[in-house]
Amino acid sequence: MVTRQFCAGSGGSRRLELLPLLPQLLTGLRLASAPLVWWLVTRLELQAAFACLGFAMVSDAADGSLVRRFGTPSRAGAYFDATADFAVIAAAFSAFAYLDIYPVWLVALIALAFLVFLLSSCLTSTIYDPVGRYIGGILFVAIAATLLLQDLLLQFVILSAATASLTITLGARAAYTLATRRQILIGARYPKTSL
Amino acid sequence: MSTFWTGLLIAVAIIVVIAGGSFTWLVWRLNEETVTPLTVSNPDGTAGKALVVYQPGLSSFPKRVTEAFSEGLVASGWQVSTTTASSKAPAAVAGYDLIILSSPVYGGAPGKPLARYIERVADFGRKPVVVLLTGAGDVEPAIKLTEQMVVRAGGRAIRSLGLTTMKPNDEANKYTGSNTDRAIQIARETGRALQPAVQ
Repeated sequence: MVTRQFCAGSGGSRRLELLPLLPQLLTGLRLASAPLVWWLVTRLELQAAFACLGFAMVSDAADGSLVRRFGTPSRAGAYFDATADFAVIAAAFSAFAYLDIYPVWLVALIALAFLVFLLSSCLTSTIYDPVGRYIGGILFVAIAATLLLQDLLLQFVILSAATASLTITLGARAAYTLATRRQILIGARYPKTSL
Repeated sequence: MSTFWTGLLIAVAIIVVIAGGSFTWLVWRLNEETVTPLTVSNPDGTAGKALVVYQPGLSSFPKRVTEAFSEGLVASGWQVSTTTASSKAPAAVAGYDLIILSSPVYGGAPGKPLARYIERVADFGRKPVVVLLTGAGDVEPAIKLTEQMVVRAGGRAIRSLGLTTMKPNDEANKYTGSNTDRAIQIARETGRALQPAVQ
């Protein structure tokens, strides 16, 4: 029914052409919300920051489903999605560091994990990383819990959980990338010869 | 079940396992006392002798606030003796003119080592006591709880100050910097301004 509605008339077909761009639009809006999250948290407008984070989390869940629905998955789209997630997470944790809620090194650890993700994804397509797939979700939940449940004890639990998750994903990716690189180097040094 | 919900469930499970382990360690860590020697700042101070007993906490914020408060006291001429809340902290407070009790707030209550210190002193002999609490959100219930403990132990709670990381400390916009920078400035200023209130 939706298709028929969009197909009616030239305006409708243009809308139908633009529909596959909806996931990118959502990802773009999420990326644009990152500085807003930072500004709201540093101004202690925590309810507004939580609403903004809620949008980021919903859009993160929605854009992937939309891409699969429209059948337009691309490598560039996946990187764009991960970058938008990183931007929102880094903005929130930078703001928390500014307020002395979490240490600055946690922001550096998040940035390092993103960098390793990019590099390892370029080097190898398949990787064993049991936590990395969910690290975005873990950190989004950590931000939401920090904003909602304001307690020093809970913040230390969150800091420990975030540090442990990031360390596991960094370790898994670094080890797997090194192992893959070694295999490539061995393959180049001792090429298989056919008799 | 969709990939999203499976992912979310796994993420929650990972958080629960890691947070559970952290929480067990934290409960042990929070009950443990930090023992430090008694240090004296401004030994020639003429305004009076102040004893600062504090619980350092898990982050640097409580310690920074306590240090700023002590700096304010020193600036207004107090001789300040500082130590952490432990079984080694002086329980005989008769020789001091002012006692400052400082602690972070965990789960709506002051830290256990500070509560145990108040119980150990048992009788503050009507000495003036300042309650200095640090937290993330609302610290008012913890302040009331600490004041009641001080009064029960024979102290006079003359001033209470609650400073937080996530609620505005300086609504009058008198100071500059981040919310925690302002908390430090407020602590220093309160310490400095305390002398007339005590005498």
